[in-house]
Amino acid sequence: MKKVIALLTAAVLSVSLLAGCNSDSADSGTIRIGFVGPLTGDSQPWGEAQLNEIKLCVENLNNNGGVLGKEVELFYYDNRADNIESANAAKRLIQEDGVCAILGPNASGAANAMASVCDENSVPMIATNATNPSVTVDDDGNVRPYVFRVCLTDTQFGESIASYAYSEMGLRNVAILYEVGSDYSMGLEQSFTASFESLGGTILTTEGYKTDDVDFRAQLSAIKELNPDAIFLPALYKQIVLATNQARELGEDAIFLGTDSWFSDDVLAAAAASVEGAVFTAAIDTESEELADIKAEYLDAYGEEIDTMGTTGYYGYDAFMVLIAAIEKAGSDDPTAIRDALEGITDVEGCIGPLSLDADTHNTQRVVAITTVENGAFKTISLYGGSK
Amino acid sequence: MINSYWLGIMTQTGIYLLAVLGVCILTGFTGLFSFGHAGFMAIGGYVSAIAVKYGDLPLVAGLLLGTAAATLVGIAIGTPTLKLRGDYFLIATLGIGEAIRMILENWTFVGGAKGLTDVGKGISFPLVLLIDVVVIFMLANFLRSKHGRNCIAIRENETAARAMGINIFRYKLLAMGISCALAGLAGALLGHYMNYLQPTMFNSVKSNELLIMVIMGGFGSLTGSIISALILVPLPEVLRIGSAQEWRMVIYGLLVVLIIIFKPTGLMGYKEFSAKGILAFFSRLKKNAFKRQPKGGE
Amino acid sequence: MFIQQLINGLAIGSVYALMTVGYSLIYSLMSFTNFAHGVVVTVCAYVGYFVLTFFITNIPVGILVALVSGVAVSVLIELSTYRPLLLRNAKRLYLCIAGLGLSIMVENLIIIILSGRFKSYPSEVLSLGNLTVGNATIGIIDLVILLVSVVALVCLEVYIRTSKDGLAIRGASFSLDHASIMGINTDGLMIKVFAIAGALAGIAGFFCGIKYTAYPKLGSSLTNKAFISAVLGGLGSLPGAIIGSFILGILEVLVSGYISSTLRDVFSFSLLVVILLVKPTGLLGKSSEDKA
Repeated sequence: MKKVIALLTAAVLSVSLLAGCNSDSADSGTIRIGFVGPLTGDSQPWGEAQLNEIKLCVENLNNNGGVLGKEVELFYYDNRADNIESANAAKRLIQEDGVCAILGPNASGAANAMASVCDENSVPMIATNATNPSVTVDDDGNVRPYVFRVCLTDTQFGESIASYAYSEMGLRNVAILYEVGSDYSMGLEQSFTASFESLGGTILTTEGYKTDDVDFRAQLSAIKELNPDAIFLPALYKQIVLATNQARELGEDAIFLGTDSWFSDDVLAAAAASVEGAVFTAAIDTESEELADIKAEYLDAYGEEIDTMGTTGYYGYDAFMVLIAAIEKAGSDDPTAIRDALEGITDVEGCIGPLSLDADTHNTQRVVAITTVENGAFKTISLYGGSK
Repeated sequence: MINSYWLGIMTQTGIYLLAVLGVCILTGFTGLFSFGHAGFMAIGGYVSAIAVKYGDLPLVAGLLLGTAAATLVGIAIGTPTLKLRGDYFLIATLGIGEAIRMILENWTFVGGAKGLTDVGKGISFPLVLLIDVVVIFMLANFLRSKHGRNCIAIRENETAARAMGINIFRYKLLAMGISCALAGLAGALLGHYMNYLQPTMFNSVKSNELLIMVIMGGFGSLTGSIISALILVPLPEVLRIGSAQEWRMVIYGLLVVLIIIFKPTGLMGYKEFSAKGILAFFSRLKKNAFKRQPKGGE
Repeated sequence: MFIQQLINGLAIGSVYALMTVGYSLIYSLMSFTNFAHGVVVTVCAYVGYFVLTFFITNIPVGILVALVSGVAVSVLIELSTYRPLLLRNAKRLYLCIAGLGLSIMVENLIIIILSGRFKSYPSEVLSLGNLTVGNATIGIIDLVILLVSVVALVCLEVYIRTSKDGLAIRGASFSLDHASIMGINTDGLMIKVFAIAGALAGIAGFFCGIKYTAYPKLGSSLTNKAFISAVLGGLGSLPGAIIGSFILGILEVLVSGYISSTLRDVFSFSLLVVILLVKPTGLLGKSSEDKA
């Protein structure tokens, strides 16, 4: 056992020796920023779209002289949508690569994991697509000083679709089918229920399914019994395809309601007939003229559309723009100065209009696009200003 | 000298090492495979988190409570299931690991799928290192003791062991208890290290990874498991290239198959490092380097 | 709604049955849990996808191709992974672990080669329409699945009861060693058994691909259900496997529909643990002595 201890110590020391030399982070030649996102795994399309867009932004910026007279250097790591990897990636960016701020991540669990790291090291992070309210504001109501976001929260999404469904579509009885292991889906279920009921609507039933489930007929049959006006389905693209197809097969023809995860070509490709007429809140009005340049550039550079799998690419753009604006406002790349500049920053030129971050919650307001599926294609039918 | 990033990696390695050692005891020395050990990590993690976050208890109390909770659940589950045959036990542990995670996902008090934030910090590398050293010391002693030898006997041949008068069930339960305690402790440390817990951090992929590390290291050897963990836990961080992570899992899978087929006892087999062995190794080096006559003996 | 749920349960159960029977067959012969069974299902789901999308969109053809692929993959697995272990009389547990390793390897290889995103079968195959019986609807594809499953399982049962090989299998399921003493070519028998299991798993994979799209984790997520069904019905008994599968399918659907959809899997796994504790031989299983 002594030998075992000796071995352990030796191993530890050797690892530390190998790792001892960290790169010199005080390089004044460039402005270093970091990105963390899912570049492999199920969430890969979203992470990739964001990263690609941010890379384009960096290139454009550098071609135009950079910021504060210096070029921007981007460091990025894959977090595989895993919380621990996200925290490690954040640490690596801060410690090894010396970034002054981090863009990302794409999921709330990862964001929560990174929040501790960022707070501890005093480096701000701008979450691109982490929608859970607790990412920026903790359970006691205190805002996390170093965490910001450019996307809407689950609460805002849930409220917007609930409002639209009640007021504009006149729906009164809705059933919900949500994913139990997903904080995204559960958050939306909660906010939709709260909003819809407060407006006077009724939630007939709330059925759940497990993360890897593929057969929803039991839940859908139960829902069908109650004859809802609509079914709210805050799911990811694969479950949307399966659930809607199965519902139609069972003879359930209620309208489907959804949120930004519905905006994906995969859904149209595999379930066009079943989702015809569905209504959901897309995070951004992708038909807007203002996005034309961004879309063209992305298509040019990467050979595919920026929004085939969702609107996250645009969030990447917005996060980058907010960061650059903050760096300019702060006049330096000191992380704490950037953080101070981020708090309450207003009128940043986002992809689709001016963007501001609320000083108290570090969240933002955006206009969502109420979108429907018409003849097998997405179509924006209305714009809806986010509340709160 | 060492920045917080690498220190963090080492701390995580030290934490997972405890869980790996736990699986090692159960599998390597009692011959029982568990596919659900991440579930016990989850219990330890959440109990400790609740104790510190809502009960306002100090960190050490949280860790102890987490460990105790995991041990108790382990024993409670073990009591009926350890009587089952090997592959039944395996399926049962698979089910238990999943069931624990699902319950946590559904339970809003512990945050459900959203997870539990701000559970309390205070895990530093020296603390983890200390815990590791103490645990390894205790385990090594345990294995040399009569109790340890009995466990090994059970692994080798259960019927013969029973014929020798060993109370199979009691020792299996003991191994289960120790193993779940370590997993619980690891889970508690992880929670406070990350300052955040989410049920997905304890899914079946993690259980499989623990098992893989033990198999590769050789499930009859503490040293094997230690080396295995020291190499395999930091590996994802070292390999940050493209699809490296999927390839990593492909290679793990392949290695497991190859190891099981060709050298089921894994890297270290049943051997542990011995001081004699290390000294002999170095003295051979010294001899060759300086071409001096050895003083005598190895 | 009850009738509808019953139909749902039967539909789900028939898919489980195809997987469970193969798994149970292997178990009865060789007493180990084939964790690599899911591999066959996943691979055949993809094979079906490619055939139907790029070659000919025809279900019977798809079934046939999937069946053949299933046989091929399953026998390949047996020869490459399990045979070396069986030759040296390795502990059954080692076989399980090897199976696990193989399944991890193949799952990740599929992700690398084909991307983790699901592949949906052509829509002509998906939209076959449905049949309404009173208040309940059943998809035509589910009827097809039910029919094919029943036919396949009946054929299997006939084969086992009447053919010489079937007799060999039944004999060997009591003791492989004794069977070989009696002159049965156990090596050949094992290949046959894996081939049969593979054929069934292949068909199961094809149907799962249609119903649930082809994705890397398809096999492993369904394998767990196969275990539970097999244990429920009694490990080592083919009729038990079938009955167990349908019971599980129906129970799951009823729990989900009437009690709580979120706790359905907790229920399934708890059921598993309870059965293992209370009556490990399941409904129809034969009791096996603890082998040394």
